Amino acid sequence: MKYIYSTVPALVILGIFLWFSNWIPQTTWEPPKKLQLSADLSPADLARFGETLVKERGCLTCHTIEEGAGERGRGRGPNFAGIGVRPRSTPKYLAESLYDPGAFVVEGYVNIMPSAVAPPARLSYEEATAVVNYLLSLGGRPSVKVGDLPRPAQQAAAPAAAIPAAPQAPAPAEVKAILNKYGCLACHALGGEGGKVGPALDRREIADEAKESKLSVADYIRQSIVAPGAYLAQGFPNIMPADIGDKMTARELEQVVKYLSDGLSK
Amino acid sequence: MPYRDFPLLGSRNVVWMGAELHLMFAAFVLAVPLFALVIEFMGWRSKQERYDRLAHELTRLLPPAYTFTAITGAFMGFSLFTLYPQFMNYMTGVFGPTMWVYPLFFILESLSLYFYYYMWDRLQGDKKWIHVLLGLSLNIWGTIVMFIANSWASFMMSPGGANSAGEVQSLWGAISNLTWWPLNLHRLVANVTFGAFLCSAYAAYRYLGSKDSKEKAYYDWMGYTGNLVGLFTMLFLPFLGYYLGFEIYSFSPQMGVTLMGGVLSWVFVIQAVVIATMFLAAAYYSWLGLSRIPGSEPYRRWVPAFNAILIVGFAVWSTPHTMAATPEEATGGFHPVLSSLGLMAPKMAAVSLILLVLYVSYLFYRRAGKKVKGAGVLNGLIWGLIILGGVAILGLGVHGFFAPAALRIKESIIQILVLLGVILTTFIMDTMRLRKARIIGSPAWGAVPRRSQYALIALAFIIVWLMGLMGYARSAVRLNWHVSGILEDTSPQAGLPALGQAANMTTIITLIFFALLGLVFLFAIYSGREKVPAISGPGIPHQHKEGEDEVHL
Ligand code: HEC
Ligand code: HEC
Repeated sequence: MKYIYSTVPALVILGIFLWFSNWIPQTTWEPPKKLQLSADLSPADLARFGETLVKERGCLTCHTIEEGAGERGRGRGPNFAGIGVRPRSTPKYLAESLYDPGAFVVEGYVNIMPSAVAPPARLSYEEATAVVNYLLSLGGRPSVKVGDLPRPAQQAAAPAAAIPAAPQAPAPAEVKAILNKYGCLACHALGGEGGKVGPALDRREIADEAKESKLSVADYIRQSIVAPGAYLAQGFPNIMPADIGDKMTARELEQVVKYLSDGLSK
Repeated sequence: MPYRDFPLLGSRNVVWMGAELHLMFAAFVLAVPLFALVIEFMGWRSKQERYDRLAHELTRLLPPAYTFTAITGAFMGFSLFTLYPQFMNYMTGVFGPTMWVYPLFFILESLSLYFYYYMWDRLQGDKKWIHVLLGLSLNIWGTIVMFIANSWASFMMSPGGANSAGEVQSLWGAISNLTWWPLNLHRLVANVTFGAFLCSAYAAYRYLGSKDSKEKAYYDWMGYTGNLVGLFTMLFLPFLGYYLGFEIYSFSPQMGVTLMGGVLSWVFVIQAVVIATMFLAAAYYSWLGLSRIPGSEPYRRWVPAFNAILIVGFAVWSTPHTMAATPEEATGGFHPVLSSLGLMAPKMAAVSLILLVLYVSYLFYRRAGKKVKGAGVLNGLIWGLIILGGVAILGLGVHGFFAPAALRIKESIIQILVLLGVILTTFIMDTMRLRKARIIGSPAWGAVPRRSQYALIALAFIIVWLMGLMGYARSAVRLNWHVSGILEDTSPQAGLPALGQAANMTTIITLIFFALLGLVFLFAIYSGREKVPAISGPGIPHQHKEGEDEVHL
């Protein structure tokens, strides 16, 4: 009996812990349900499903949705609010950010995001389309239907077990290879080599033109590639192929944009 | 059939209970031999009989505790195999060979234990070294057993050696997954903490139950020693915890964030409250302990100031950063004021200052009852260093708050180095200073108030509860996966319960554990009463014999 008596203070303390644990917010967590999304849903409907998915599949452990907090916000990943109108947020770019987040790492962030089509989020292709529509709806308009986006290379890769690498500046050789692959150097020169039909890609004027059109250098270059006619460089004909940006993967596009804009802001 | 249901309780709760109870007993039978061996060794080298007696008494707890370890282990295994057959099928497929050698080591461990326990009196004197070697082998087998079991548990969290289809390509890859070593180290050290606090609770019960002043003195000293070992080893746990967290993060940043800033972040708020309570209880105990020492009055003046620092420190330490509870709250859910206090830099400063204050309390304790003449300069130097260290820690904390992340991490490492450096140098200087000390009052063992013993008992309950809760968090972070990313949990209980419910479970498990442990204690108490060696107590001044060093823990 005396033993029990001397245990009373201990039990009281456990009681306090118990009370405290039951007093704080009581959230349960349920495993996400797979959504069956039919192919004929409208982009707006898909966006509504996308919202649920983003909340249930753990995206908000890192991302935030903070109005007016800019691109960075206070999360561990970019702020979703306004993502739909950011210049790089083409549907294809967003889809690729989901499938293979490490392919292009947003500047200032670490490559910590797991592929959204692998565990734990494990979005199906249809679900990924819904998420892209939802992201587009944040500031912009949802516009893609099931089937419009490229499919992920392979569903469900093994969970990333590697220590995340820091984002790297694109290597010159790699960028050269991309430019060659799409025939950019047939018309443009870089480092004194290449065609003369279009302006040299490292000429100073690009920075001035960016300023005139009130874009950052990177956004201006991206726009020039994705929508060449939008702003014509002075003294040059509008002959750059309009679909050339669409053919590039988002990663290639961003590598080129980063390389060129870094070079110009030196 | 992937799952079977357990009526009423539900499969998950049954396995939960089995696993936690088994883990607690396993921790106990791993920690107590380690603890006993160290104490036996100290007694052997310093030729103090009381240490040998203490080590022997501790091992007396082991045979019944082993029985419970085996029973709870069998219960856990049985419930896993019947209720989660598919999962266990997968695990045996991956870990087959290790599951065969596991019992082998367990048998070796038990054999060593029986020899260690029953040969105690025979292997004394010249043959003591054989006994110490036996104790060492007992510890080695036990550690191997734990490491094997850890490989299974850590694999579930951060599977290694498997391809995307979940087929394990290499057994060694599966064993040596990312969180295996952090878990090994964390559990090893935490086990000693756990064992030490449980032993001092045992001593407390015996202290409270004994009438003889010699016995009282002995158990008072035992409780004090256990508490000191528990606190000392606990100092390492935050750092090992960060190491584990770091490896979880490198396995999957999302998992790391889920743990620290997502659905489970409130667990850490509870943890902080619990740890704060532990330190307060420990501080309470050691301040009451000052009353053992005649001439300690000047030191007791400081107690209120220390209390204030501790409480403020804990408030900062336990402030959560993200107040995220629901996805809606998670969205921009950073509290404007709390989030700045909850950031790393203030936290590190707070916890470092708390540790410094606890260290100073300990210095006081060591100094109480001793008079030193003519070491004023040294004393000034010691206090100067401690104050400088405190200011530096605080300064780094404030600066780190404004510094970018990379610098902040470097600064928190400097903070730790400053803390450890100050403790180490002042400890050596103080030891030098105390060499010249004249003892004016040695501890009157057995004369502490009874309420100090309640604190020891409470500490044991708290650490068990905390271990249960953190075990839950470690399992819960896998969310709906048996094996992260490889084997999904599709059972009806794949989600997470509310934290209150998890705490209820933890409390029930803690109470069951102590009920069983009470039996272990009773067996040990009735299995033999021995003559208590003389310790200084009220009316029994401690005689310093030639060749006997006062071992300061
Ligand atoms: C572990 C943290 C984490 C989780 C979980 C996470 N992300 Fe990310 N995400 C990031 C980080 C960091 C970046 C920026 C670096 C990069 O591009 O990889 C990012 C980038 C992105 C981008 C590109 C944003 C831009 O501005 O270019 C999109 C889109 C995105 N995430 C969507 C998602 C979705 C949808 C989910 C849920 C399925 C998700 N993320 C889950 C951390 C995370
Ligand atoms: C058929 C020739 C041709 C090809 C191929 C071509 N471009 Fe162009 N590009 C032009 C011309 C002409 C202009 C100037 C008119 C304009 O602004 O559209 C131009 C403009 C640009 C600009 C804006 C330069 C400025 O000073 O404003 C950039 C950047 C650019 N191209 C990049 C590329 C990249 C990258 C590729 C390869 C993916 C590429 N171009 C392929 C002809 C081409």
